[in-house]
Amino acid sequence: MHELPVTQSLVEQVRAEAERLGVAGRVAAVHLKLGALTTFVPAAMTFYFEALTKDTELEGVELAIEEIGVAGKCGRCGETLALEAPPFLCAACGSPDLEIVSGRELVIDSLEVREDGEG
Amino acid sequence: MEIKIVKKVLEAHDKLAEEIRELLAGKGAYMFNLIGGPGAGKTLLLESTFDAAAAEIRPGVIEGDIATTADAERLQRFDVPVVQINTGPFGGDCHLAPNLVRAALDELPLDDCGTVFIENVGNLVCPAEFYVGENEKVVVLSVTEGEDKPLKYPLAFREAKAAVITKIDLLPHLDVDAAALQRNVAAVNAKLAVFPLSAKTGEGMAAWVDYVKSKLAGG
Repeated sequence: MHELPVTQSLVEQVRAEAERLGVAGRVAAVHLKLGALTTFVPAAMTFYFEALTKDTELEGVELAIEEIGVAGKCGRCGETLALEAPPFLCAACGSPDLEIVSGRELVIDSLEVREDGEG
Repeated sequence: MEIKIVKKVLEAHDKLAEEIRELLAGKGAYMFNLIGGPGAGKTLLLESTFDAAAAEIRPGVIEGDIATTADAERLQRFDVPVVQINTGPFGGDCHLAPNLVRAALDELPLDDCGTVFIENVGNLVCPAEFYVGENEKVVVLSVTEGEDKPLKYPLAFREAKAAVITKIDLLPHLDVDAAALQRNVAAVNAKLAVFPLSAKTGEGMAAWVDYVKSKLAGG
């Protein structure tokens, strides 16, 4: 339900990055990494992204969202393992002492840019 | 052509939150960010906490609500500074963002505060997502919400350092399995400090109040 302000931040950053890199008007796609242990819904983000970029230089830019699974590092045995659903316990030693090492991402990974004169 | 960026979308957000954290550290104030659904008992928890130890913990309060100043009014009987933030009356923001918290802190006499309590917008989803410079998040869940809620809203329980389970005085009237609720809390985050209590009868309050006191600078 808070995807709108977050997608607004995303659009502003994409615009700023494209200008900084001198590729404004040539962005074809935005690659976003989104962790599974966030409360952002990909479909809501792509919906807002389309609405927020309509009639701007970013209209038609694809928002490609890659979902990143949740992983934890065990504080007892040092194992890093994928976590699917609670209970969050180390599969190797059973310890609940797990630090989340991935799954909380909301990161612009890269921009797909058209070459000059292309498309 | 692909150009690598690797930039957090909430970068500006997190930077402001870090500034808030530093401001509070400089003032020696410890900030709790209370997160829970509407009606979980966040305001009554604050009232009972202040009844027990307002003079010692010297709290300042930031009340976040979509609308009304009802919660701030309930706290007026205490000699405690309260700032009310309304995020917007027609389905405004579902959480407090750091810019709102930063502005609210300017209204609090931080030199006199040992603690700051943010009572976030009643919502077990969104406030869990956002770091606003707090020292710790505290998730507040009432037994009436059911034993399955930690499993349904794992982020809030993962992000918190403490969980307060409220309204335990109602357990005899409910079909809720209190032991299963605590097991579910532990299944999501076994490192949480858990405080089952009734802010109404006072049962269990002492342990929670001691926990709050233990966070005071030099405490």
